[in-house]
Amino acid sequence: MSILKIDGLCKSFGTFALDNVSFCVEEGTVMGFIGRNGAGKTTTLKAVLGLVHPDAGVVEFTGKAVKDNELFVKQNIGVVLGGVDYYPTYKIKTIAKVTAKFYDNWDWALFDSYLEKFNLDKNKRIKDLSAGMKVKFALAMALSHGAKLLLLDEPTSGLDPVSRDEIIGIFIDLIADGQHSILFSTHIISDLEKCADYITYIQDGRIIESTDKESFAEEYRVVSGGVLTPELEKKLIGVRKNSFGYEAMIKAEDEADFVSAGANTQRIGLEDIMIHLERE
Amino acid sequence: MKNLLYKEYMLAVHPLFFLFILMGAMMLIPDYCYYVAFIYSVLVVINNIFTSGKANKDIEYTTLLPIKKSDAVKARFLSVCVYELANILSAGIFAVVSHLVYGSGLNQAGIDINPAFFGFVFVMFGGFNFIYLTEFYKTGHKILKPILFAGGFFMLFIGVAETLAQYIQSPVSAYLDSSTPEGMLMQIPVLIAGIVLFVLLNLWGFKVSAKRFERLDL
Repeated sequence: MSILKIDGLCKSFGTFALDNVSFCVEEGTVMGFIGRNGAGKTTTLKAVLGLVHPDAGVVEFTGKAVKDNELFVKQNIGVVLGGVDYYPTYKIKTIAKVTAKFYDNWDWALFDSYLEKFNLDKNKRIKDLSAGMKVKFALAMALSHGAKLLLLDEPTSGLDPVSRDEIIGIFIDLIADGQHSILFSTHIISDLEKCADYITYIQDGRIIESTDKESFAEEYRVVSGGVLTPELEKKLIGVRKNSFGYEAMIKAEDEADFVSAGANTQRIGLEDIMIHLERE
Repeated sequence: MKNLLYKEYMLAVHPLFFLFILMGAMMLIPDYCYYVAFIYSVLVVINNIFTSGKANKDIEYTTLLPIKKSDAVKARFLSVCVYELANILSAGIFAVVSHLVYGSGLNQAGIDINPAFFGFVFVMFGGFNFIYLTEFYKTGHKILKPILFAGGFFMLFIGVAETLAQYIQSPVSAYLDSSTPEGMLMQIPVLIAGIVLFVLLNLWGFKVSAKRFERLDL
Protein backbone atom coordinates (compact mmCIF):
# COMPACT_ATOMS: atom_id res chain seq x y z
CA MET A 1 0.00 0.00 0.00
CA SER A 2 1.23 3.47 -0.86
CA ILE A 3 1.70 5.69 2.16
CA LEU A 4 2.43 8.66 -0.08
CA LYS A 5 1.17 9.20 -3.60
CA ILE A 6 2.20 12.14 -5.71
CA ASP A 7 0.27 12.47 -8.93
CA GLY A 8 0.83 14.98 -11.71
CA LEU A 9 2.42 17.66 -9.55
CA CYS A 10 3.18 20.83 -11.49
CA LYS A 11 4.61 24.08 -10.20
CA SER A 12 6.11 26.87 -12.22
CA PHE A 13 8.55 29.43 -10.80
CA GLY A 14 9.35 31.23 -14.03
CA THR A 15 12.78 29.86 -14.88
CA PHE A 16 12.15 26.52 -13.19
CA ALA A 17 9.16 24.21 -13.18
CA LEU A 18 8.11 20.91 -11.69
CA ASP A 19 6.59 19.12 -14.60
CA ASN A 20 4.06 16.38 -13.93
CA VAL A 21 5.92 14.86 -10.98
CA SER A 22 4.38 11.51 -10.04
CA PHE A 23 5.59 8.71 -7.81
CA CYS A 24 4.56 6.64 -4.80
CA VAL A 25 6.23 5.66 -1.55
CA GLU A 26 5.23 2.21 -0.35
CA GLU A 27 4.67 1.42 3.31
CA GLY A 28 7.74 0.07 5.12
CA THR A 29 10.23 1.12 2.47
CA VAL A 30 12.92 3.70 1.89
CA MET A 31 12.58 5.79 -1.23
CA GLY A 32 15.65 7.65 -2.35
CA PHE A 33 14.80 10.85 -4.19
CA ILE A 34 17.78 11.78 -6.27
CA GLY A 35 18.80 14.45 -8.68
CA ARG A 36 21.28 17.27 -9.06
CA ASN A 37 21.17 20.38 -6.94
CA GLY A 38 18.27 22.45 -8.23
CA ALA A 39 16.51 19.52 -9.94
CA GLY A 40 13.35 20.07 -7.87
CA LYS A 41 13.78 17.70 -4.92
CA THR A 42 13.19 20.25 -2.15
CA THR A 43 10.34 21.91 -4.04
CA THR A 44 8.63 18.53 -4.40
CA LEU A 45 9.04 17.80 -0.69
CA LYS A 46 7.75 21.26 0.19
CA ALA A 47 4.74 20.70 -2.05
CA VAL A 48 4.03 17.48 -0.15
CA LEU A 49 3.96 19.51 3.06
CA GLY A 50 1.83 22.26 1.58
CA LEU A 51 4.61 24.84 1.97
CA VAL A 52 4.61 25.29 -1.80
CA HIS A 53 1.29 25.53 -3.60
CA PRO A 54 1.22 23.33 -6.69
CA ASP A 55 -0.31 24.68 -9.90
CA ALA A 56 -1.72 21.22 -10.56
CA GLY A 57 -1.58 17.70 -9.23
CA VAL A 58 -2.59 15.80 -6.13
CA VAL A 59 -0.61 14.59 -3.13
CA GLU A 60 -2.16 11.90 -0.97
CA PHE A 61 -0.92 10.68 2.38
CA THR A 62 -2.48 7.39 3.53
CA GLY A 63 -5.14 7.95 0.89
CA LYS A 64 -6.07 11.41 2.14
CA ALA A 65 -5.50 14.54 0.06
CA VAL A 66 -2.76 16.56 1.74
CA LYS A 67 -4.40 19.81 0.68
CA ASP A 68 -7.52 19.12 2.74
CA ASN A 69 -5.83 17.38 5.68
CA GLU A 70 -2.87 19.63 6.48
CA LEU A 71 -2.97 19.08 10.24
CA PHE A 72 -3.38 15.30 10.03
CA VAL A 73 -0.53 15.12 7.54
CA LYS A 74 1.81 17.22 9.65
CA GLN A 75 0.94 15.24 12.78
CA ASN A 76 1.91 12.02 11.02
CA ILE A 77 4.87 13.04 8.91
CA GLY A 78 8.25 13.65 10.47
CA VAL A 79 10.13 16.31 8.58
CA VAL A 80 13.82 16.99 8.51
CA LEU A 81 14.78 19.74 6.09
CA GLY A 82 18.53 19.59 6.58
CA GLY A 83 19.45 19.87 10.26
CA VAL A 84 17.85 22.04 12.91
CA ASP A 85 19.01 25.56 12.18
CA TYR A 86 16.30 27.62 13.80
CA TYR A 87 16.60 29.35 17.17
CA PRO A 88 20.32 28.51 17.38
CA THR A 89 20.89 30.06 20.81
CA TYR A 90 18.22 27.94 22.48
CA LYS A 91 18.85 24.64 24.18
CA ILE A 92 17.72 21.31 22.79
CA LYS A 93 15.37 20.84 25.74
CA THR A 94 13.68 24.20 25.15
CA ILE A 95 13.07 23.57 21.45
CA ALA A 96 11.80 20.07 22.24
CA LYS A 97 9.56 21.33 25.04
CA VAL A 98 7.91 23.83 22.71
CA THR A 99 7.70 21.44 19.74
CA ALA A 100 6.21 18.63 21.87
CA LYS A 101 3.18 20.81 22.70
CA PHE A 102 1.98 20.63 19.12
CA TYR A 103 1.93 16.86 18.68
CA ASP A 104 -0.87 14.65 19.95
CA ASN A 105 1.35 11.57 20.13
CA TRP A 106 4.59 13.05 21.42
CA ASP A 107 6.43 10.44 23.47
CA TRP A 108 8.96 11.95 25.91
CA ALA A 109 10.36 8.53 26.85
CA LEU A 110 11.01 7.81 23.18
CA PHE A 111 12.54 11.25 22.68
CA ASP A 112 14.87 10.76 25.64
CA SER A 113 15.84 7.33 24.35
CA TYR A 114 16.77 8.82 20.97
CA LEU A 115 18.81 11.55 22.64
CA GLU A 116 20.66 8.85 24.55
CA LYS A 117 21.10 6.72 21.46
CA PHE A 118 22.40 9.68 19.46
CA ASN A 119 24.55 10.86 22.34
CA LEU A 120 22.89 14.26 22.49
CA ASP A 121 22.98 16.41 25.61
CA LYS A 122 19.63 18.16 26.02
CA ASN A 123 21.33 21.11 27.71
CA LYS A 124 23.37 21.89 24.61
CA ARG A 125 22.46 24.85 22.51
CA ILE A 126 21.63 24.32 18.84
CA LYS A 127 24.55 26.50 17.71
CA ASP A 128 26.96 24.24 19.58
CA LEU A 129 25.85 21.11 17.75
CA SER A 130 27.86 19.72 14.86
CA ALA A 131 26.14 19.27 11.50
CA GLY A 132 25.65 15.59 12.24
CA MET A 133 24.23 16.28 15.69
CA LYS A 134 21.77 18.79 14.23
CA VAL A 135 20.47 16.14 11.86
CA LYS A 136 20.26 13.62 14.70
CA PHE A 137 18.35 16.10 16.86
CA ALA A 138 15.97 16.81 13.98
CA LEU A 139 15.53 13.06 13.52
CA ALA A 140 14.91 12.53 17.25
CA MET A 141 12.12 15.12 17.15
CA ALA A 142 10.67 13.74 13.93
CA LEU A 143 10.63 10.23 15.38
CA SER A 144 9.19 11.16 18.77
CA HIS A 145 5.72 12.10 17.64
CA GLY A 146 4.81 8.78 16.08
CA ALA A 147 5.38 9.79 12.47
CA LYS A 148 4.60 7.05 9.98
CA LEU A 149 6.49 8.70 7.16
CA LEU A 150 9.78 10.52 7.42
CA LEU A 151 10.38 13.20 4.85
CA LEU A 152 14.05 14.04 4.83
CA ASP A 153 15.66 16.64 2.64
CA GLU A 154 19.34 15.87 2.15
CA PRO A 155 19.81 14.64 5.72
CA THR A 156 23.27 13.32 5.03
CA SER A 157 24.66 16.19 2.97
CA GLY A 158 27.62 17.86 4.59
CA LEU A 159 28.18 15.04 7.08
CA ASP A 160 31.36 13.05 7.42
CA PRO A 161 31.27 9.41 6.22
CA VAL A 162 30.99 8.00 9.77
CA SER A 163 28.05 10.25 10.67
CA ARG A 164 26.42 9.43 7.33
CA ASP A 165 26.81 5.75 8.04
CA GLU A 166 25.25 6.23 11.48
CA ILE A 167 22.25 8.04 10.00
CA ILE A 168 21.81 5.36 7.35
CA GLY A 169 21.95 2.74 10.12
CA ILE A 170 19.13 4.58 11.89
CA PHE A 171 17.03 4.51 8.72
CA ILE A 172 17.57 0.78 8.31
CA ASP A 173 16.62 0.12 11.95
CA LEU A 174 13.60 2.31 11.64
CA ILE A 175 11.95 0.62 8.68
CA ALA A 176 12.69 -2.86 10.05
CA ASP A 177 9.33 -2.84 11.88
CA GLY A 178 7.49 -2.36 8.57
CA GLN A 179 5.51 0.51 10.11
CA HIS A 180 7.68 3.38 9.01
CA SER A 181 8.52 4.67 5.58
CA ILE A 182 11.17 7.11 4.52
CA LEU A 183 11.39 9.45 1.57
CA PHE A 184 14.76 11.10 1.51
CA SER A 185 16.33 13.30 -1.06
CA THR A 186 20.02 13.21 -1.61
CA HIS A 187 22.72 13.60 -4.17
CA ILE A 188 25.02 11.27 -2.23
CA ILE A 189 24.42 8.10 -4.16
CA SER A 190 26.44 5.81 -1.92
CA ASP A 191 23.86 6.41 0.82
CA LEU A 192 21.17 5.08 -1.46
CA GLU A 193 23.22 2.01 -2.32
CA LYS A 194 23.19 1.19 1.38
CA CYS A 195 19.57 1.65 2.33
CA ALA A 196 17.13 2.58 -0.42
CA ASP A 197 14.55 0.09 -1.66
CA TYR A 198 13.23 2.37 -4.35
CA ILE A 199 14.65 5.24 -6.31
CA THR A 200 12.98 8.20 -7.89
CA TYR A 201 15.17 10.22 -10.21
CA ILE A 202 14.31 13.82 -10.95
CA GLN A 203 15.99 15.90 -13.63
CA ASP A 204 15.11 19.53 -14.38
CA GLY A 205 11.77 19.15 -12.61
CA ARG A 206 10.76 15.97 -14.43
CA ILE A 207 10.76 12.44 -13.09
CA ILE A 208 13.04 10.32 -15.27
CA GLU A 209 12.52 7.09 -13.37
CA SER A 210 10.78 5.78 -10.28
CA THR A 211 11.41 2.14 -9.62
CA ASP A 212 13.09 -0.29 -7.25
CA LYS A 213 16.83 0.11 -6.85
CA GLU A 214 17.83 -3.12 -8.58
CA SER A 215 15.62 -2.55 -11.61
CA PHE A 216 16.96 0.97 -11.91
CA ALA A 217 20.56 -0.26 -12.02
CA GLU A 218 19.60 -3.10 -14.37
CA GLU A 219 18.17 -0.70 -16.92
CA TYR A 220 21.55 0.64 -17.89
CA ARG A 221 24.99 -0.56 -18.94
CA VAL A 222 28.28 1.22 -19.34
CA VAL A 223 29.81 0.76 -22.75
CA SER A 224 33.17 1.39 -24.41
CA GLY A 225 35.09 0.29 -27.49
CA GLY A 226 33.85 -1.37 -30.65
CA VAL A 227 32.98 0.13 -33.99
CA LEU A 228 29.97 2.35 -33.68
CA THR A 229 27.52 2.99 -36.48
CA PRO A 230 25.69 6.32 -36.52
CA GLU A 231 22.56 4.47 -35.28
CA LEU A 232 24.44 3.08 -32.29
CA GLU A 233 26.00 6.47 -31.55
CA LYS A 234 22.52 7.94 -31.21
CA LYS A 235 21.84 5.48 -28.39
CA LEU A 236 24.78 6.61 -26.27
CA ILE A 237 23.92 8.47 -23.08
CA GLY A 238 26.42 10.84 -21.50
CA VAL A 239 29.23 9.96 -23.87
CA ARG A 240 32.75 11.10 -23.11
CA LYS A 241 35.35 10.78 -25.86
CA ASN A 242 39.07 10.67 -25.27
CA SER A 243 42.23 9.72 -27.16
CA PHE A 244 41.64 6.03 -26.39
CA GLY A 245 38.08 5.92 -27.61
CA TYR A 246 34.88 6.67 -25.73
CA GLU A 247 32.93 5.74 -22.66
CA ALA A 248 29.19 6.09 -22.35
CA MET A 249 26.02 4.60 -20.92
CA ILE A 250 23.37 2.73 -22.85
CA LYS A 251 19.97 1.27 -22.10
CA ALA A 252 20.29 -2.41 -21.19
CA GLU A 253 17.83 -3.28 -23.97
CA ASP A 254 20.41 -2.05 -26.50
CA GLU A 255 23.26 -4.08 -25.02
CA ALA A 256 23.11 -6.88 -27.61
CA ASP A 257 23.51 -4.42 -30.50
CA PHE A 258 26.63 -2.95 -28.94
CA VAL A 259 28.10 -6.36 -28.13
CA SER A 260 27.59 -7.37 -31.79
CA ALA A 261 29.54 -4.26 -32.76
CA GLY A 262 32.44 -5.42 -30.60
CA ALA A 263 31.84 -3.03 -27.72
CA ASN A 264 32.51 -3.90 -24.09
CA THR A 265 29.54 -3.57 -21.80
CA GLN A 266 29.39 -3.76 -18.02
CA ARG A 267 26.92 -3.29 -15.23
CA ILE A 268 26.82 0.23 -13.85
CA GLY A 269 26.47 1.68 -10.37
CA LEU A 270 23.87 4.27 -9.36
CA GLU A 271 26.39 7.05 -9.12
CA ASP A 272 27.63 6.43 -12.64
CA ILE A 273 24.06 6.30 -13.91
CA MET A 274 23.47 9.73 -12.41
CA ILE A 275 26.67 11.13 -13.87
CA HIS A 276 25.86 9.83 -17.36
CA LEU A 277 22.27 11.02 -17.21
CA GLU A 278 23.38 14.49 -16.25
CA ARG A 279 26.39 14.69 -18.58
CA GLU A 280 25.69 16.76 -21.65
CA MET B 1 -3.65 28.79 19.69
CA LYS B 2 -2.58 28.23 23.30
CA ASN B 3 0.42 26.23 22.05
CA LEU B 4 1.36 28.87 19.52
CA LEU B 5 1.25 31.58 22.16
CA TYR B 6 3.42 29.35 24.36
CA LYS B 7 5.87 29.15 21.45
CA GLU B 8 5.73 32.92 21.01
CA TYR B 9 6.71 33.57 24.61
CA MET B 10 9.19 30.70 24.92
CA LEU B 11 11.04 31.42 21.68
CA ALA B 12 9.98 34.45 19.69
CA VAL B 13 9.22 37.23 22.17
CA HIS B 14 12.25 37.75 24.38
CA PRO B 15 11.34 38.55 28.02
CA LEU B 16 13.67 41.55 27.83
CA PHE B 17 11.21 43.21 25.46
CA PHE B 18 8.74 43.54 28.31
CA LEU B 19 11.14 45.91 30.07
CA PHE B 20 10.10 48.50 27.52
CA ILE B 21 6.64 48.48 29.06
CA LEU B 22 8.23 50.62 31.76
CA MET B 23 8.53 53.39 29.19
CA GLY B 24 5.02 54.14 30.40
CA ALA B 25 6.86 55.92 33.24
CA MET B 26 7.47 58.72 30.75
CA MET B 27 3.98 59.87 31.74
CA LEU B 28 5.75 61.30 34.78
CA ILE B 29 7.82 63.71 32.69
CA PRO B 30 6.33 67.18 33.09
CA ASP B 31 5.44 68.95 29.83
CA TYR B 32 6.23 66.35 27.24
CA CYS B 33 5.02 64.81 23.98
CA TYR B 34 3.67 61.72 25.69
CA TYR B 35 3.24 59.72 22.48
CA VAL B 36 7.00 59.25 22.62
CA ALA B 37 6.45 56.71 25.42
CA PHE B 38 5.03 54.35 22.78
CA ILE B 39 7.60 54.87 20.04
CA TYR B 40 9.96 52.41 21.74
CA SER B 41 7.27 49.76 21.54
CA VAL B 42 6.98 49.90 17.80
CA LEU B 43 10.47 50.82 16.68
CA VAL B 44 12.31 48.65 19.18
CA VAL B 45 10.08 45.88 20.48
CA ILE B 46 7.66 44.97 17.70
CA ASN B 47 10.20 45.48 14.95
CA ASN B 48 12.66 43.35 16.89
CA ILE B 49 10.17 40.51 17.32
CA PHE B 50 10.14 40.28 13.53
CA THR B 51 13.85 40.88 12.93
CA SER B 52 14.84 38.29 15.54
CA GLY B 53 12.21 35.97 14.06
CA LYS B 54 13.88 36.36 10.70
CA ALA B 55 17.33 35.71 12.16
CA ASN B 56 16.05 32.66 14.06
CA LYS B 57 14.11 31.30 11.07
CA ASP B 58 10.90 31.47 13.05
CA ILE B 59 8.68 31.05 10.01
CA GLU B 60 10.61 28.00 8.81
CA TYR B 61 10.19 26.41 12.25
CA THR B 62 6.58 27.42 12.79
CA THR B 63 5.19 26.40 9.42
CA LEU B 64 6.52 22.87 9.82
CA LEU B 65 4.50 22.43 13.01
CA PRO B 66 1.06 20.84 12.73
CA ILE B 67 -0.80 24.14 12.64
CA LYS B 68 -2.72 26.20 10.13
CA LYS B 69 -0.65 28.98 8.59
CA SER B 70 -3.34 31.46 9.50
CA ASP B 71 -2.98 30.46 13.17
CA ALA B 72 0.71 31.41 13.07
CA VAL B 73 -0.36 34.87 11.89
CA LYS B 74 -3.07 35.06 14.54
CA ALA B 75 -0.59 34.15 17.29
CA ARG B 76 1.76 36.88 16.11
CA PHE B 77 -1.05 39.47 16.07
CA LEU B 78 -2.06 38.39 19.56
CA SER B 79 1.46 38.56 20.99
CA VAL B 80 1.97 42.02 19.46
CA CYS B 81 -1.38 43.21 20.82
CA VAL B 82 -0.68 41.77 24.28
CA TYR B 83 2.58 43.70 24.38
CA GLU B 84 0.90 46.93 23.25
CA LEU B 85 -1.93 46.56 25.76
CA ALA B 86 0.64 45.97 28.51
CA ASN B 87 2.41 49.13 27.37
CA ILE B 88 -0.85 51.10 27.45
CA LEU B 89 -1.77 49.64 30.86
CA SER B 90 1.61 50.62 32.26
CA ALA B 91 1.24 54.13 30.82
CA GLY B 92 -2.29 54.25 32.28
CA ILE B 93 -1.01 53.47 35.74
CA PHE B 94 1.73 56.10 35.47
CA ALA B 95 -0.87 58.53 34.07
CA VAL B 96 -2.90 58.16 37.27
CA VAL B 97 0.28 58.71 39.30
CA SER B 98 1.08 61.76 37.17
CA HIS B 99 -2.36 63.24 37.86
CA LEU B 100 -2.00 62.52 41.58
CA VAL B 101 1.46 64.10 41.71
CA TYR B 102 1.08 67.04 39.34
CA GLY B 103 -2.69 67.52 39.41
CA SER B 104 -4.54 68.43 36.23
CA GLY B 105 -1.87 70.77 35.02
CA LEU B 106 -1.78 71.95 31.44
CA ASN B 107 0.84 70.18 29.31
CA GLN B 108 2.67 72.88 27.33
CA ALA B 109 4.51 70.48 25.03
CA GLY B 110 1.68 68.34 23.73
CA ILE B 111 -1.71 66.82 24.43
CA ASP B 112 -2.58 66.40 28.10
CA ILE B 113 -2.60 62.91 29.56
CA ASN B 114 -6.30 62.18 29.25
CA PRO B 115 -8.76 59.65 27.79
CA ALA B 116 -8.58 61.27 24.33
CA PHE B 117 -4.82 60.80 24.37
CA PHE B 118 -5.21 57.10 25.16
CA GLY B 119 -7.91 56.80 22.49
CA PHE B 120 -5.40 58.15 19.96
CA VAL B 121 -2.74 55.72 21.25
CA PHE B 122 -5.09 52.81 20.54
CA VAL B 123 -5.66 54.05 16.98
CA MET B 124 -1.94 54.60 16.55
CA PHE B 125 -1.15 51.01 17.57
CA GLY B 126 -4.02 49.62 15.50
CA GLY B 127 -2.80 51.47 12.42
CA PHE B 128 0.78 50.45 13.03
CA ASN B 129 -0.17 46.78 13.37
CA PHE B 130 -2.30 46.87 10.26
CA ILE B 131 0.42 48.39 8.11
CA TYR B 132 3.39 46.50 9.57
CA LEU B 133 1.93 43.01 9.67
CA THR B 134 0.03 43.09 6.39
CA GLU B 135 3.19 44.36 4.70
CA PHE B 136 5.40 41.76 6.43
CA TYR B 137 3.18 38.83 5.49
CA LYS B 138 3.41 39.80 1.83
CA THR B 139 6.83 38.15 1.84
CA GLY B 140 7.27 36.56 5.27
CA HIS B 141 10.82 37.86 5.48
CA LYS B 142 11.21 41.47 4.33
CA ILE B 143 11.21 43.93 7.20
CA LEU B 144 12.39 47.22 5.72
CA LYS B 145 9.14 48.21 3.99
CA PRO B 146 6.97 47.26 6.98
CA ILE B 147 8.92 49.39 9.42
CA LEU B 148 9.30 52.30 6.98
CA PHE B 149 5.61 52.41 6.16
CA ALA B 150 4.25 51.60 9.62
CA GLY B 151 6.88 53.70 11.44
CA GLY B 152 6.15 56.55 9.01
CA PHE B 153 2.46 56.29 9.78
CA PHE B 154 3.21 56.29 13.51
CA MET B 155 5.25 59.50 13.30
CA LEU B 156 2.76 61.18 11.00
CA PHE B 157 -0.07 60.23 13.32
CA ILE B 158 1.71 61.78 16.28
CA GLY B 159 2.29 64.96 14.27
CA VAL B 160 -1.35 65.23 13.21
CA ALA B 161 -2.71 64.32 16.65
CA GLU B 162 -0.51 66.84 18.41
CA THR B 163 -1.33 69.54 15.87
CA LEU B 164 -5.04 68.92 16.28
CA ALA B 165 -4.95 68.90 20.05
CA GLN B 166 -2.23 71.36 20.85
CA TYR B 167 -0.94 73.58 18.09
CA ILE B 168 -4.07 74.76 16.31
CA GLN B 169 -6.39 76.43 18.76
CA SER B 170 -9.95 75.39 18.01
CA PRO B 171 -12.98 73.87 19.72
CA VAL B 172 -11.49 70.48 18.77
CA SER B 173 -8.22 71.22 20.56
CA ALA B 174 -10.10 72.60 23.54
CA TYR B 175 -12.08 69.36 23.69
CA LEU B 176 -9.10 67.02 23.21
CA ASP B 177 -6.52 68.83 25.31
CA SER B 178 -8.48 69.15 28.51
CA SER B 179 -7.50 67.33 31.67
CA THR B 180 -10.13 68.68 34.00
CA PRO B 181 -12.39 65.96 35.47
CA GLU B 182 -15.37 67.20 33.41
CA GLY B 183 -13.29 67.52 30.26
CA MET B 184 -11.88 64.02 30.65
CA LEU B 185 -15.35 62.57 31.17
CA MET B 186 -16.43 64.18 27.91
CA GLN B 187 -13.50 62.45 26.14
CA ILE B 188 -14.61 58.92 27.05
CA PRO B 189 -16.24 58.46 23.58
CA VAL B 190 -12.85 59.20 21.96
CA LEU B 191 -11.25 56.51 24.12
CA ILE B 192 -13.99 54.01 23.27
CA ALA B 193 -13.77 54.87 19.59
CA GLY B 194 -9.99 54.36 19.80
CA ILE B 195 -10.42 50.93 21.38
CA VAL B 196 -13.02 49.93 18.78
CA LEU B 197 -10.74 51.07 15.96
CA PHE B 198 -7.79 49.18 17.53
CA VAL B 199 -9.85 45.98 17.55
CA LEU B 200 -11.20 46.50 14.03
CA LEU B 201 -7.81 47.39 12.53
CA ASN B 202 -6.25 44.29 14.10
CA LEU B 203 -9.07 42.01 12.94
CA TRP B 204 -8.89 43.44 9.44
CA GLY B 205 -5.10 43.33 9.49
CA PHE B 206 -5.19 39.69 10.56
CA LYS B 207 -7.55 38.76 7.73
CA VAL B 208 -5.41 40.48 5.11
CA SER B 209 -2.14 39.12 6.57
CA ALA B 210 -3.43 35.54 6.84
CA LYS B 211 -4.62 35.63 3.25
CA ARG B 212 -1.28 36.97 2.04
CA PHE B 213 0.71 34.48 4.11
CA GLU B 214 -1.42 31.58 2.88
CA ARG B 215 -0.61 32.48 -0.72
CA LEU B 216 3.14 32.49 -0.09
CA ASP B 217 5.36 29.66 -1.27
CA LEU B 218 7.85 29.16 1.53
